[in-house]
Amino acid sequence: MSTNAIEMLQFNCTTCPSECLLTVEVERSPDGAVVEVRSVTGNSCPRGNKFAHQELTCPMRVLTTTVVVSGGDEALLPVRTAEAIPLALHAQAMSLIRGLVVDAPIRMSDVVLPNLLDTGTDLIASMDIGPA
Amino acid sequence: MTKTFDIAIVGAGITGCAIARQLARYDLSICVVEAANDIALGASKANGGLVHAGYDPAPGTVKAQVNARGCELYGTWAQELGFLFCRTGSMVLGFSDEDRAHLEKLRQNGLANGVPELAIIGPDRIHELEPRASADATCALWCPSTGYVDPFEVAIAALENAVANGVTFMRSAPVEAIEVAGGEATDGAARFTLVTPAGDVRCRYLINAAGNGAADISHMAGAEEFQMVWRQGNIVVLDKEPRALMPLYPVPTPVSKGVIVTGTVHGNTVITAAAAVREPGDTQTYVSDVNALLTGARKLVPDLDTRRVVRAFAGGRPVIKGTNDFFIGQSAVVPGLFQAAGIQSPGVASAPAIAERMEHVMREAGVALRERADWDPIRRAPDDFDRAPLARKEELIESDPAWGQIVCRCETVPEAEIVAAIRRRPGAVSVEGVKRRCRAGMGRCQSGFCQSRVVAILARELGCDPSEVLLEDTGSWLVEGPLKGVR
Amino acid sequence: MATFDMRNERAEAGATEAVQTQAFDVVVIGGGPAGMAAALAAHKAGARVAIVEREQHLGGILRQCIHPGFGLSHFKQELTGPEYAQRFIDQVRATDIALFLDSMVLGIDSGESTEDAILRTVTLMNPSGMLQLTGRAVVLAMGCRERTRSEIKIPGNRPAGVFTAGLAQRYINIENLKPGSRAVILGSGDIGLIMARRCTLEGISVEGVYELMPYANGLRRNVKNCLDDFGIPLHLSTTVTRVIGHDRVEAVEVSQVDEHLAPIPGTERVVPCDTLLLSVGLIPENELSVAAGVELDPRTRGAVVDQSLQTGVPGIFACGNVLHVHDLADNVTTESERAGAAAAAWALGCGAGADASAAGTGCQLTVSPAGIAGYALPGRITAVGLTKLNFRVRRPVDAARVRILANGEELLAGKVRPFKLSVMESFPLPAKVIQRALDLGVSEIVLSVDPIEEA
Repeated sequence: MSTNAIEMLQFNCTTCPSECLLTVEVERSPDGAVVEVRSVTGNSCPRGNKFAHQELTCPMRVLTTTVVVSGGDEALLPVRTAEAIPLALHAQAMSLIRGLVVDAPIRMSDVVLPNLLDTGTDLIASMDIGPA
Repeated sequence: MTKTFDIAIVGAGITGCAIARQLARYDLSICVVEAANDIALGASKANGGLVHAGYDPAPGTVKAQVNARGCELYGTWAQELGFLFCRTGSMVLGFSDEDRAHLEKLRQNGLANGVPELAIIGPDRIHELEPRASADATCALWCPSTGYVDPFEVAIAALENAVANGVTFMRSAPVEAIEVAGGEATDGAARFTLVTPAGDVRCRYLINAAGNGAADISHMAGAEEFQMVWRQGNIVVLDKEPRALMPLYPVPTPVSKGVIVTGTVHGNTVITAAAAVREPGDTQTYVSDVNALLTGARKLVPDLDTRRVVRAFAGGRPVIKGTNDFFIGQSAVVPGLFQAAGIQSPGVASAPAIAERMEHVMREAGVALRERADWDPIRRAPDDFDRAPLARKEELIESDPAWGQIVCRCETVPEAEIVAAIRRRPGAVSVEGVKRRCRAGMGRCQSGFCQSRVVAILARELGCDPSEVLLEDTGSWLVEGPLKGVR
Repeated sequence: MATFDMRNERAEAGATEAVQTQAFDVVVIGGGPAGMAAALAAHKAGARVAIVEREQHLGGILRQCIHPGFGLSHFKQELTGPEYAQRFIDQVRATDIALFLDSMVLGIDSGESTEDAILRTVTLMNPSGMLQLTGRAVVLAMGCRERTRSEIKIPGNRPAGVFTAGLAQRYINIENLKPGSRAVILGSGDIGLIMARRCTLEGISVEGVYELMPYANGLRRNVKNCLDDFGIPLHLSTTVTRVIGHDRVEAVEVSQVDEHLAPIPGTERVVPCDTLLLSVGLIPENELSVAAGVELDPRTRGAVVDQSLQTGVPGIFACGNVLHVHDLADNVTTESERAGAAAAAWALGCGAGADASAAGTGCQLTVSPAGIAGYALPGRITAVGLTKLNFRVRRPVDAARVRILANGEELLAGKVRPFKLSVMESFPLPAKVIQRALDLGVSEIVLSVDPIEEA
């Protein structure tokens, strides 16, 4: 039975504009999976600690892209996930979104695709689009 | 598919276009055969638009004759063809007694070449004529007949006028082979066959105005074996100034006029110089060349803000090895072939006179030149929104709302002006072609704001997909196609 | 069009002829975040306001900045660019602010002069015709443009496929067109980083981001979220030294640079690609301003303004990226609200009050940058009052302090802290410091950012 490895990582917290440089000690199993986040230093508020744990277990990001518009005065509608979703799902989400077409008119915050990839998060419009 | 003409002109550079315009007044069928997809894409690009007065070519050379005469003809050509021409005068700046001696030699040279009103002037007069000229200049050769044009506009205007008078323009037709049948040049038979991917062209007389390709054309026809070298011309364009600079030259060296600074018809500042001899076809810019231009320019105009570079480019100027002169005449080997070869600097300044001389040479060779009754020397220039007075602007927008739809903000080019550039004959078929005709994308942002709009207009007007729109010639695609949503 | 002298033609083009005119108090040029915020503030102050916008829609460049990162300070939540813009568009639409869309301003002239203020005339074109708007105050909010390949003098061929990052962003986010398949990005500013992610998500492979400087120019969060998330390499102290390809980009040659930023011979490497994106800086678009007689600061390439963001031409104000390049839209909004309010006060008070106060205090100070401060804004102070000084450092430092100097005497010093390159800094200058400078009889105060050597 091989032993777990201890690793020191450095990355910036992106929760707020302060962008604290975090130093994180993690324990990984032989297959690379994070067993435990042992310590987080360099953060100037508790959000840094929470961010580091999330980042090492399941990094979350808001996905923004575009959707083709039919009958609008713009060709594309900018869209976003209402909340951050797992980064690991972004590529899959992009292939799904690439095939979508929405009809104008559209209002900002309209739901373009509910519960994207069962994340519980909706894909929503970022802008109004008027009719052509 | 073969088409037959009395005359085929190979090359739609400023030389070929000027010759076509000159010969269009005669009862002849003429075809201009161009390798590229547009006008003036070769050597005609590699210059700063100066209409040099003609004081520096060695007296007695062909160059000396056509340069001074060309400069003289520009006034009439500009009037008839509706292109912008500013006869500003120029100064060759001297900084020492040695320079002054050179300037005096240059003045004598100019007088021998028939250049009018040359004078050596001192610092007071220098700064009266161009307040931004270097305060270190102690003397100058003042030459009132120098001017400048937009070389693309001249070539385009000349060919538009030729086409309006019945000349055929074949683009994307690189000559791959030339067959020459036997017989006399003047017996009326179409002796020459030009093989091109766009179809063959047969003609009785062939005019070689192929610029950097002139040696190849001559070789294909079995005529003179010109040895050509590729001397790079380098150009740096700076942003517009409230007042355009007068052309300023340094004292020339035996091979080059040196680094020249000039205003342009559009109010930009252009720095230009001949650079090293390079591999044929090399149109790359080099850091050392660009820096040499900027340094040289500041010697003439110390307050030049060289941060304001809008574009730097380079091109080849065809020089016949062993001579610095132009070759304009009938081939001594292949009668019926007329050559305008080695048209390097001052090719732009000389173009109208090269055309005139070519006409003379052909007449002497027995080519029947009968004037047409319906020849129209006038070309009506397209409307230029930016330059139009307010009342004309209003009229234009009233005639078509697309005149009020801005596309290029740096140069104030509305959509209708771009559409006109595409619809004129011969019209623009590429983004750069649009730019050369109406300046959309020519400005300080270098099409960062308008390129996608110009692509959309070209696609609409040419009836093609945006992915088929070219920046310049074959292979220069701009976008691959839609990102998403195509089912 | 015969032989002519351009100077005459230009003079003629400037002559005013009978064109339809509409009167306002404040005319705002530009309908992006700066213009909308200025217009809303001026409207709130009771002015009759017009916005002139080149595009068909309000929102400016934010419409194509579809990524998040906006609104954290102004709305206290993270928004995308279009969302940030839409909130202001909705506010503008709810007022009677006059909108001139699809309208391009051709010039700003000083028209009839009344007793107390000069009336400005803004001449514009749109598909309905030519139009002139008059107002006692004009707010310049035209934004900026991207530096081009020519400005940074990248040598080599000139094929298709070299795009500024913003143009590529427009193709991808607005036009639904794919500008290429394999991209190299030069410049690690935020736009370059964001385009690296955007390209990757849309199936355009990004071969690498190259940066001339030894550090990334963009925000750390963007390096992390746009490059690290996708395994895109960032090559520091490396630049593009040649574009290869006659018709379309076929490759670029990259070279490492030395401490003087000069390419090191022998380090050239050819990177095959069909697209080169440039994110090499932004330049305020001040051609209109200069034509109107506004003096520019060569450091910012924006107008020299006073504490109320008024330029040297009375009644002409400037804000947003046309004044100096900002990194956050939120800062543009804050600054532009100040400009809009000041423009309204000028227009409604006919400027008399402002003149009187300036004359009363006799306050005429210029502000100059020193140390590693790249610029200082405002460049002029004409009133004694709390004044926010903006500046940017020219290189990142771990420890430095801001010092306010007059005639060599230190009037004020900030605390020692790190300064980032990507951040526009702000430093409050209390009224008593300005008064102190006046008492010393100086005409100039200096904002100096001085690095502290590590002990």
